Amino acid sequence: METQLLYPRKSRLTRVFAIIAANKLLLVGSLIVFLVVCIAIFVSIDDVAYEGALIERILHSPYQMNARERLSPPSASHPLGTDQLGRDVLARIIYGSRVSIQVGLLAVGLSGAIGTVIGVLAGYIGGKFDDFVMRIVDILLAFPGLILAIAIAGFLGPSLTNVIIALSAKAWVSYARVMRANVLKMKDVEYIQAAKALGSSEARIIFKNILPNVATPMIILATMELGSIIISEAGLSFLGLGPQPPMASWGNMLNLGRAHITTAWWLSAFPGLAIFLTVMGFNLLGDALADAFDPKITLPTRR
Amino acid sequence: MQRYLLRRALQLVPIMLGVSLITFFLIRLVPSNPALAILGVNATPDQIAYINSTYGLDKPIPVQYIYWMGKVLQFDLGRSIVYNQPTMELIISRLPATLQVGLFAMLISLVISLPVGGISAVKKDSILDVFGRFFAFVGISMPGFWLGLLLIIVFAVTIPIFPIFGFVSIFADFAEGIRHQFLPAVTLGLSMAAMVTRMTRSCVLEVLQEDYITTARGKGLSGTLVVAKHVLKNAFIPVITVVGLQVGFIFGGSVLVEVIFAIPGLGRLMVDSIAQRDYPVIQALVLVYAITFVLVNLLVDVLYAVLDPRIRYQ
Repeated sequence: METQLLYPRKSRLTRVFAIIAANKLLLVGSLIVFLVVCIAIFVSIDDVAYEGALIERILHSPYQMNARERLSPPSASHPLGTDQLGRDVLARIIYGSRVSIQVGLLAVGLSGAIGTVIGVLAGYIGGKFDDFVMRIVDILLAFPGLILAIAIAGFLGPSLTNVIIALSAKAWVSYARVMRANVLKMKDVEYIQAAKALGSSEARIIFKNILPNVATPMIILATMELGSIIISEAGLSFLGLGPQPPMASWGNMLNLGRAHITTAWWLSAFPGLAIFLTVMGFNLLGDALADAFDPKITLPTRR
Repeated sequence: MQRYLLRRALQLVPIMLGVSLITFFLIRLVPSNPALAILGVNATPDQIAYINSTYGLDKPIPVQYIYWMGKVLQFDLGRSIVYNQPTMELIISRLPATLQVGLFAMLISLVISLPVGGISAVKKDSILDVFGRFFAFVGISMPGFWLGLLLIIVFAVTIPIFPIFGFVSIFADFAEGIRHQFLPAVTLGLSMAAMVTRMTRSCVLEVLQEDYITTARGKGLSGTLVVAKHVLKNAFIPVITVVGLQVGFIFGGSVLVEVIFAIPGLGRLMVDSIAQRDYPVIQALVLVYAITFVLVNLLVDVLYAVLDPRIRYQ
């Protein structure tokens, strides 16, 4: 909070940068997230526009097999070693970042959007509708963490889209709860009452008065959720429910690592390190954002 | 207390009903006809008709649900297509492995998280607190199954103290049982410990700010005595709730851990059933997991109400 007072007259963007610079953990977190997102964007450009030519020039193709270099340990030409088909592990980790970031952003976006709409409506309308929504929330919370996602992904069949659906099926619940709690808190605030008295439409009150004021807890929650969604996605991919080979994802790389664990430690160590660092980045960012902004905001207890 | 129990039990009815509905409709997510998905594309019409009538797939959906629910209420969870035996028998035969590893993991996590979280809060901002918070943060960011793989590399491949995989019941051979389940239980337990440490720390911090703690200090009790007699007792009550919720985490995590360490438990059964399209088994497992989770949390709530009488009157 003090950091905000130090820069009272600067523009909003300058203030955001000032807060980031003042908090080392936030800085580290933002750097990691920035780096991983840049890598994922690079992969998308390389894959779509250049058909993998860029990464092949810098490093190796993530799909190029090499019979003579199967399971070779880290070396100058393959910094993180090769897998059982002789493919470069570093190139595959770089390509795998796209899956994690894609699934993370899409699943958080989807569940965040659904949760926001349902939560705002439940809090704002109240009554029977609110009771009904909260019942559904209670029912979904009765399913333990990953189990529902594993079952849904298992029934739908393995694919990237199905992983996103499976992870969002329960994840929207936390956004809905936070939204509802914040909207309930806001409903009786004086300026909302004033807006009502002035004849604002319901839609205008929701979009102009309520949503901007509950955006902060949502952004913090979404940042924190990104980390756990990425871990869950890796878990589903590890179980073979994610993107199918030869496509690289950090989870399915770890699955290969499990198969060759006695002979090739690098196959298990490095993709997991990538997950760990990425998740740590998002968690640092989330924690720091929660500390930096208003401590009064309502966040849920994590399940 | 009796009224509280009754109220909590009644609240479960709609939840259980909802859980059963969702579980029932899960099988409808299969993109193709379930019979085709089970038999493969080369199925003859006769085979499809047989599967449809055995599993009631040819009847209207509400009828199917009532038929299925009626059987579930009699503890009949259908038959496994792959193993051709009642699903209930399969689940019961796989339960001991999951229970053994899960309970051991829970024990490990509590032995670590309660003291670390407690000390972290009491000695706030000391070097111990920094370590405690660091441990919790790293643990939360670390994918549990990666931790499992690292533990195998270090403690089973490089320094071969523990077996790489496999399972031995502690009732068959206690020493070997512990040796086999050590790495999987540590894998699960450490991930869980991180979350419970965080929760314990914030609960203890909250209690430390209460007026009765100031009073206890004011009347001259020593710091240790205040913590032992007043803080811990009050702080650990909300922690129990978190531990209840962590059972869900153990269920999810055990699927991955059982795959990594080749443990013949429920999670492994789930993954195998998905690979073999044994849909009745997946459906039954989801139901069993959810019901167990709900019941564990009911138990936790009741325990909470016993320990904290204020809860009963809310």
